[in-house]
Amino acid sequence: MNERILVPDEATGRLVSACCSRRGFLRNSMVAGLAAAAAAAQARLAFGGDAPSVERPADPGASLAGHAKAKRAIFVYLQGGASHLDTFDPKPGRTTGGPWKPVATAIPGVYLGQHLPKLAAQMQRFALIRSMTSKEGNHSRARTLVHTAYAPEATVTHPSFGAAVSKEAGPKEFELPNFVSIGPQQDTAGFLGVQHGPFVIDNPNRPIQNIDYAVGADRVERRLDLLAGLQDDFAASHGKDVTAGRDDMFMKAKRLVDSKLREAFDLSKEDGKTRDAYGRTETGAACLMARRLAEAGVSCIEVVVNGWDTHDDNFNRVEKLCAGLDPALATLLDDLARRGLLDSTLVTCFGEFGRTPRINERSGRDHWAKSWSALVAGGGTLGGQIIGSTDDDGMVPKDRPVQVADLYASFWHAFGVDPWTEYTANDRPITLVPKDGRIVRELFV
Amino acid sequence: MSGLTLAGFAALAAVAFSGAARGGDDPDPARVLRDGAEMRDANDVSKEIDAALAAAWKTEGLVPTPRCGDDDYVRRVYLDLVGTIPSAAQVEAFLDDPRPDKRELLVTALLKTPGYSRHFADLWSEVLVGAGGTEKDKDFAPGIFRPWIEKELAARRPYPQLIASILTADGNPYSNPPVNFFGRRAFTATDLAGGVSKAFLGVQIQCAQCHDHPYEDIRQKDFQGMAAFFARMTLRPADIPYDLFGDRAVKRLEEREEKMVQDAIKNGMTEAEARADVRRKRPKTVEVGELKGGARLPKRLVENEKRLEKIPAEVASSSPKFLHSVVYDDAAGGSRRAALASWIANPANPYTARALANRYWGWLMGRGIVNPVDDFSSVNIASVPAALEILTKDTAESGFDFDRLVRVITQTKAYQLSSASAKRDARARDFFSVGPLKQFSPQQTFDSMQVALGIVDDPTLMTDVDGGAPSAIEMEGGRYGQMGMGDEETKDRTKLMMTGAARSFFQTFDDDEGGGSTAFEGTVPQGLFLMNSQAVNGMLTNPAISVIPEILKAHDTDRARIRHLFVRTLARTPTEKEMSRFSQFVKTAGPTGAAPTGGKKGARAAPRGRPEDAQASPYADLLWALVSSSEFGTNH
Repeated sequence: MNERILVPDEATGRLVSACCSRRGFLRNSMVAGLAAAAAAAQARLAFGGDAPSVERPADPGASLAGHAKAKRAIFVYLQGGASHLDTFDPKPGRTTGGPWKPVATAIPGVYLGQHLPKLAAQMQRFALIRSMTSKEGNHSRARTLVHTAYAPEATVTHPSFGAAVSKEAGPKEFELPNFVSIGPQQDTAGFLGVQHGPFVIDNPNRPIQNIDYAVGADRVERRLDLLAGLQDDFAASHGKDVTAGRDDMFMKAKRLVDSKLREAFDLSKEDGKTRDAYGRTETGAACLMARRLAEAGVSCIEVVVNGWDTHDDNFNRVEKLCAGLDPALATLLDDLARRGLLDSTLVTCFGEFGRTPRINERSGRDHWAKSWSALVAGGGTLGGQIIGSTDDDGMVPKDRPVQVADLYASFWHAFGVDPWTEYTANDRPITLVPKDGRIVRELFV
Repeated sequence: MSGLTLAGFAALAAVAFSGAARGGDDPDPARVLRDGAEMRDANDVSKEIDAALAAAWKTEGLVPTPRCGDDDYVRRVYLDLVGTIPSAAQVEAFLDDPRPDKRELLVTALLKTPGYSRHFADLWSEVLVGAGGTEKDKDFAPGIFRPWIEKELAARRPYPQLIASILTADGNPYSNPPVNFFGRRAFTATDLAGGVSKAFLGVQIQCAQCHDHPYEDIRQKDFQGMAAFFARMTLRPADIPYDLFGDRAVKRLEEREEKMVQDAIKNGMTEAEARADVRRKRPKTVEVGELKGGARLPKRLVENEKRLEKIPAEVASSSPKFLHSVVYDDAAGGSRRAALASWIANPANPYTARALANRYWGWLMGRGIVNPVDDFSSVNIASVPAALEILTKDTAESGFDFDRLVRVITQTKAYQLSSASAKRDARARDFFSVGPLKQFSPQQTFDSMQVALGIVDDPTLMTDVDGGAPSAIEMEGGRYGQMGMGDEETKDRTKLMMTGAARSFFQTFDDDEGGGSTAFEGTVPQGLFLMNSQAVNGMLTNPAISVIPEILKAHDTDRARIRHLFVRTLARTPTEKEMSRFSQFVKTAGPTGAAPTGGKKGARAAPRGRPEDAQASPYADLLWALVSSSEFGTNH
C-alpha cells in the first residue's frame, strides 16, 4: 500500500519525497475532518495524509500556525515503557492484540485500549502519534532519550525537557521552582546547572520535606544574617561567582517557605469531588497537583507513573495501571480546558518505549522500541487526530515514523522556541534538539 | 612521550600478544620497568612539573598566587586525601607542628589511614560504576562494589590487578563485586568498549561506532576491533542472593512471597502452581560469563529477556584488535577480556599511564591538564603538555603507583598555591597559576558536617569496609550509614543523625553531577535541608546530642569559643574583624526562636527532654552559619 510520491514542502516550496499509504490517508483525513479544525483537515488533504517532515525552516515560527501558545508543560511519564497495544494503539482481533476489546473514542472510527474509557471520551482534546520509533530498548538509555531528546552521550549530560523549559520559558524570578517532578526522580538539568533541575516531590500526598521552619522565623533570619557576613568575606577573597549560587539557594528556599503560592502543593485545598474525579490514587493526586502547580505558574511539571515494565502478567497489571491513569489524565485535560489553561499548557504522555507485540510465556510483554505511541495535547496543538500508524500487529510504524527528536522539535515549536537554539557545554555547541529533528507539522496545521 | 611512542608500543604488544592467548594472570608487568632502574625521588618529579608549569606561566604572562598558608593546606589535604575536613584537634596539631617538612609528612601520614582508601574508593566508584543512582536496578549493586574497591585500595592492590579483576569479572553483581562495572552499563559490546576506553584509556571511541571519527584518527574499524573483545560475553538470569543482606532481608522476601502465594491460591491456583509462579517471578539479576575462543558465537549477546541486545554483525565478525595496535588472535582459546586487560594494564601502554596521571591530577587539582580528564583528543589538548608528560612518564615507571601520584602532585608548588583570587579567570584556572577551588561532593559535605557537628572525632578512621553485611538500603542502590564510630556517646549521636536523615540528605544532595556544569550552585531542596531539617537542627539545638554544650564547657571565653568554631569548621582562626563581629553577636543575641512559626506541625527540632540552653543558642546559630557557608562547602 505504500508508495513514494513527491509533494511540495510548504516551508520551502521544494518537491520532497514522501511515503504515502492510502489507508493512512483515508483514516487521517476522516479523523481530521471530524475534528473541530476544518482548516486543518484542508491542509492535511493537500498533503495526502502523511505530511512529509519539513526541512528546518529559516524561522520555524513563521511558517506554521499554532506556535508559541504554550507557556508551560505537563509531562505524564509512563515509566518502564507502556504497552502501546494495550493503551493507545489497540489491535483487536490479532493474537498480538491481547484479550481486550477496544473502546470507542469521541472521534468516530478511532479506538483506545479497553481500560481507558474516560480518556477515550476526551479524544477531541489530544492527538495520538502512533508511529513513534526509536533505537533504544534499554531502560536507562531510553529514559534519557525520551527526557532529553538525545541518546546518552559519554561527554555531555543533556538537560531534561523540564529543565530546558525552566531555562527557556520559565520566569527568572518566581516564588515556586520552575520545574517540579512528582514521583521517582528521572531528571537532570545536565549542563544547564542544578538551579534548573527538578524540585522533587516524592509523594504528592505527603507534604514537602523541610518546608516548615524548624526554629522560629526570627532565628532563621538571625542565622541568615550571620551567614551573609561570612559569604561577603569569602566573596571578597575568592570571587562572587563562588558564593552567588549558595546565596541564591538560600534566598529561593526561604522565599518558598514564606510564599503563599506553596499552597499549590497542598491537595487538601481541593474539594472531595475533584479529588474523586482525578482518582484517589497516587497518579490521580500527582495529576491534580500538576494542575494546581500549572495554575500557580510553574513552567514544567513531570508526573512519573511507575510500573509499566510488564515483563510478566501484563494484562492484569496494565488494567490496574490504566485504572489509575485513565481518570487522572482525562480529568487533567478536561479540568485544564475548563479553566482555560489547556491552550497554554502542553500536555504529553508517553513511556520510554513500547512493548513487544508477542506475548511471552509469562503473559508479559518485553521491551519494544521500534513502535510506540505518544499523546500530545494543549499548548496550541491540534487534538482529535491520529498521526501515523503501525502495521497490523503493531510491530513497526507503517507510515509517518516519528523520532523522539521530532517530538521535541514540535514541543519547542509549541513554545515558540527555536528547537535548534544553541548552547555550549564542554566547549562544544549543542542544540536543544538534535539537528535531525523535524517538527511534526500535523500537530499545528 | 619519550620512548613510549604508539608505534613502539604496538611493536611490544605484537610480541606480547601474538599467537596463543595470554590471560590476565601474567606476573606484574610493571616489574620489567621498575626493577631496571631505581625510582627517582618523588620530590624531584614535583619540582620538574613545577618547572614546566612556570615556563608555561611565563609564556602566558600569568602570575601565580602566593603559597597557601598552613591552615589552607591542612584542610585541603584532608579533603583531598580522606574526603573530609580535619577535626579541630588535627588542625591545631598541624599548625603547632614546628617541623619544616610537615606538609610532606602530613601526606605520608594520611596515605596510611583507612580514610584515604575510603575516599579514593568513592572517587574510583564514581568513575567505574557511577555515583549510585536511585533506580532499583537489579543488575547493579553499588553498595557492594564500593566496599570491595575500598578493600582493594587498602590492600594496595596494583592497578594492573584491579583492571584485570574488573574486566574479567564473571558471576553476578552481588556475589562478585567487580561485575558491577558491567552491571552499571548497557550490556552491549559497543557500550562496553566505549566505557572501558573512557575509564582506562581516557579515549572516547564511541563516536566512531557509526562512522569514522570526524577529527580523530579513530576509524569505525578501530571501534569494532575494541568492541569485539566483549562480543563473547554471555548473560543469564540469576537469582539475587538475598542471604547476603542478612536474615531480615531473607525474612522480608519470604513473607512477601508467602503473601503472593496465598493471594494466588485465593484466585484459584493450586499451591504447587502458585509456588512455582512466585518463584519464577522472583526478581532476577544477571550472571556474566564469557565464551572462550573457538566457541560458536551466540545469536544474541544477552539471554536475559530484559536485555535483548543483538551483537551488531560488524562487531560479531570483527577480530578483536587493540586500539591502534595489533589484532588479537584467539583461535587457540582463552578469554578475550583477559587479553584486553593485560594490554591495558601494561605500563608501556601509553594511553593507560597518561589517562591515570591526568585523572589523579584532575582529582587533586580540580581540573585535568587535559579536561575533561577522560577525553583525550586532538581537539581537546593539554594546557601544559610538558607537565603531563613528566607525570605520565613517572606513572608508567612506577607501575601505576597511586600513592606516588598523590605524593608527587601534592608536593608541587602548584598544588600549594593559594586559591584566593577575587578574579578567577579561566586561563589562570586552566594553567594552574591559582590554587585549586572545588565544590564539595555530596559525600564530602555529609562527612564534613559529621566532623563539624561532632559526630565523628577522627575522620581519618572512617571506613565502609567493616560494617558487616551490606544493608537493605545499599541493596537499593545507595550508600548511607556505616560510618566509623568511636565511643558510645558518639555512636548514639551518629545513630540519631543517621536514622532517615542520611537517606534524605543523599536524596537531596545527589544531584547527578558531571553534566558539564562546574558552577558553584545549590538546589532549593538542599537549601531547605540545611535551613529546616531535623537532622541539622537537632544536631545544633538538642542538648542531648549537640556538640555546643561541650564546646561551652571546654572554652570559657566568648573569644575562645568563637575561635574554636572557626577552627572546627573552616580550619582557620577568625580575622579580627570576624572576631569582633561575632563576639558582639554572642553578647547581644540572647535566646530566641523557641516558639516556631510558619508550620502547622511546629518545631520538630524542639528537644524532647531538656530545652536548649539559652547560652548555647547564639553559638548554635553561629555554627549553623559556618557549616552553611560557601567557605565551608568548598575545598580551597
